[in-house]
Amino acid sequence: MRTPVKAGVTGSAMATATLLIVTAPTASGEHQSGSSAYGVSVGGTPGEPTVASDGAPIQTAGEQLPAQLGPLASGGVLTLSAGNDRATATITDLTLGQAIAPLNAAIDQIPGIGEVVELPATAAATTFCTGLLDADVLSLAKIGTLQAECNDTAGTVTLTDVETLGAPQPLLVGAVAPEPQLLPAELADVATITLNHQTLDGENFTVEGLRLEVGGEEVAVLASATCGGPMAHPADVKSEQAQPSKEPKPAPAPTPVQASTPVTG
Amino acid sequence: MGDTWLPVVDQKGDWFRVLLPSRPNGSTGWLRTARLDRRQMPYLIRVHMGSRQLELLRDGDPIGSWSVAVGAPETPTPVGRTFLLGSIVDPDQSFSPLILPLGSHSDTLDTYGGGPGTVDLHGWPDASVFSNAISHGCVRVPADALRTAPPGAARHPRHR
Repeated sequence: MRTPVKAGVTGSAMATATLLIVTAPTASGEHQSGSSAYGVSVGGTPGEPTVASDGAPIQTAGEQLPAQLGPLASGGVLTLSAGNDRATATITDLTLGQAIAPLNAAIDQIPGIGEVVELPATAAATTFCTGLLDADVLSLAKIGTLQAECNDTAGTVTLTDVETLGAPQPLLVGAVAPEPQLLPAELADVATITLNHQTLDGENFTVEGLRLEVGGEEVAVLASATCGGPMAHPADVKSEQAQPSKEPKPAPAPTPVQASTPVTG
Repeated sequence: MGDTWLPVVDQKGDWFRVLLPSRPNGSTGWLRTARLDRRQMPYLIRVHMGSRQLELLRDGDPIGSWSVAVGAPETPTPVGRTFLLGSIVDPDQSFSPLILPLGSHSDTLDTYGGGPGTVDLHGWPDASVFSNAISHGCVRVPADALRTAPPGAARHPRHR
């Protein structure tokens, strides 16, 4: 029987806040648009590190990829910027699938992924992977610089020094077209790495620098930039009192259950 | 087992980041807000490894303090934030009427007694152990502390 999982809140009560939904206009009266960028999203979770702007320029540099990615992806420096309808996310010295053997174990460690992804076994993929074992390949791919940028509804992804399975990929250097695949077609049923994946969701336009899927499920997105729609004119400015967040009820004291529990006495 | 309650340590949009009762200690995961029940827990337990004192606080105010036994030097109690998972009565042992398993695991014992080295709070029949570093990682507490400690409270073993 599945045990329900619940989240408790420790510490102080939730605060009620006034939410301003529109920011100040520019001196010229032009509309401002928001934007945001993040380094990595794992298994559909919120991206991190991240920057978000309501129109004013903001930039971070010197961030690192989360260690949680383990052998799935490692990199050098992350640089993120966001501003008026323009955002960029840049990762340098990116290595994907470092040490291929523990890659499956790393994917299993990502919460939720191990339970929903079943790796399909195809003859083509099996043959290909067997070949990899003989080729002394140390990683799936390496990218010197991966940069995703959105500018209003235009998106670009730029790469330098691309290697796939140890072989240089000169055709994937520079600004790449949307949706090219980084991995060989033989692996498509098992894993795909898609570059420059672009989506339009309402007023939000997103450019994902690199999208890793395993068994058809999103495992990770690296270097993502999102440009938002136009913000309201000053005449539209309004503030809204956020609904007072209902304070959670006190947590119940659990009823002791009878069980055998080997603990470190 | 009953419901599992996990402490929230971060929130972004519709997601909560929670501590997990998984190795390595300090593991976290993201859960969607819409699928969760939220509850408030005003209690905090601090275990000071140096002075071997356990403090119980409610809304930041101390409401109790006890001398406890902590892990021996070769099997230390792991430090850092964790939480109480639940409350167990184990008829197969006689050292404590109640066992309060935590979300942390021994850093030196991969397994213990057939389990994964789960650290916990529990009582001990011999009061001479309190104030000493002699356990396999668990925190042995006096009986009245065991009755008072509120399951679900955040717990912070720390060096002091």
